Amino acid sequence: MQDNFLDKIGERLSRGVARRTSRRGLFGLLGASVVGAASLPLLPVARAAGGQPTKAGVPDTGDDQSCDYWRYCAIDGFLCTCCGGSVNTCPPGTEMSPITWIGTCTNPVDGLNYVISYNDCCGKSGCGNCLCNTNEGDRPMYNPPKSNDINWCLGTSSAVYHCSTAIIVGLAVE
Amino acid sequence: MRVGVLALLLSLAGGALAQEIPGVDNDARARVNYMLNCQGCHRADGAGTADGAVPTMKNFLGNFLTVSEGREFLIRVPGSANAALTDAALAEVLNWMLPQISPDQIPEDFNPYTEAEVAKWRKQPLDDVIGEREKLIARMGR
Repeated sequence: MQDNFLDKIGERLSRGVARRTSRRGLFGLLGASVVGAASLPLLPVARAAGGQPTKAGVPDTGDDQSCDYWRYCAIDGFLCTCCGGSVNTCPPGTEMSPITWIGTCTNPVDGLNYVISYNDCCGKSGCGNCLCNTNEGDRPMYNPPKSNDINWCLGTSSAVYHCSTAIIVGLAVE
Repeated sequence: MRVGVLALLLSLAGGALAQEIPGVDNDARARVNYMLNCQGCHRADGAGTADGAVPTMKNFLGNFLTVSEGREFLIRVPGSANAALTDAALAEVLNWMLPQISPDQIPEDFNPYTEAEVAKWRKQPLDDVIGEREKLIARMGR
C-alpha cells in the first residue's frame, strides 16, 4: 500500500518528537505541572467581589475555622470556612456583599495591624456553623458604619445573611 | 527588551509615588483612613452600589467642585461630617480621594480642602442629603 501524504507528515512528526524528547521528560513535565498547580493558590489573585486583592506574602498562623484566628478579631457571625466557603470566598450559591464592615486586626506573626473587610455572604439562610462574636472595635447601633450588629447584606440581590469572610484589604498605619 | 520594559514601568511607578498630592501630608495615612471610614460602603474604587443606595463617587465626585455649594456639600454629607476623623484628617482624606477616584472631573483651579474649612462646614450638616445632591447635579454642565 502506497503511503499517502498525511501518513508521511504523521510519521515525520512522530519520529521528530521521539528524537527530541525522552520518556523521562514527560515525568519532568508532569512533576512541574503538579508543583505549579500546588503553588497557584498562593498567587495574589483577587478573590473577593469588587476586586479587593488578598495580600500575598502576609505571614499567617492559626486555624481559620476557629474564632481565635487573628483575622476574626472583630467578627460577628458564622465563619464561611465552616460553611463551604473560605476566609476569602463565599460558599457556592451565595453572593458576596460589596458593602462591608471594616476594621483592623493585629497579626500575631509580624505584630502589624491589617485592615480586614468582613464581607458577608448572602442569599441563603444562616449557615449555623462556627458562630463567632469577637467584636473588637465594635460600636453601638447608633454608629452604624462601625457596628457589626447590622445585617451587612446590602447591595446584594438578597438580604438574607449566610456567613462572613475576613479579607485582608491593606496594612494599617498608625 | 523585557528588562527594559520592566525598568520603564518601575520608573513610572516610582515617579507616580514620588509625586505629592496637594493637601495630603501622609499618603499612607489618608489611604488607611479612607479604608476604615469610607470604603466599607463606598468600596475601594468609590463605585458604590449598582442600585444607587450608595451613590457612585467613581469618575463623578469631582463634578461637585464645579458647581456652587458643591465644594462644601462634600464636607456636609453624613459620611464626611459624621466620620470619626479630626477636621485635619477629614480634609486630608478628601484631598486624597478626589484624584484617586475622580481625577478627570476635578477643575484645574481646585484648591485643596483646608482644616479650617472642614471645621466650619461639618458643623452645618444636611437635612435632606438626597434632595441637595439632586439639586447640585442639576446645576452641573450648565
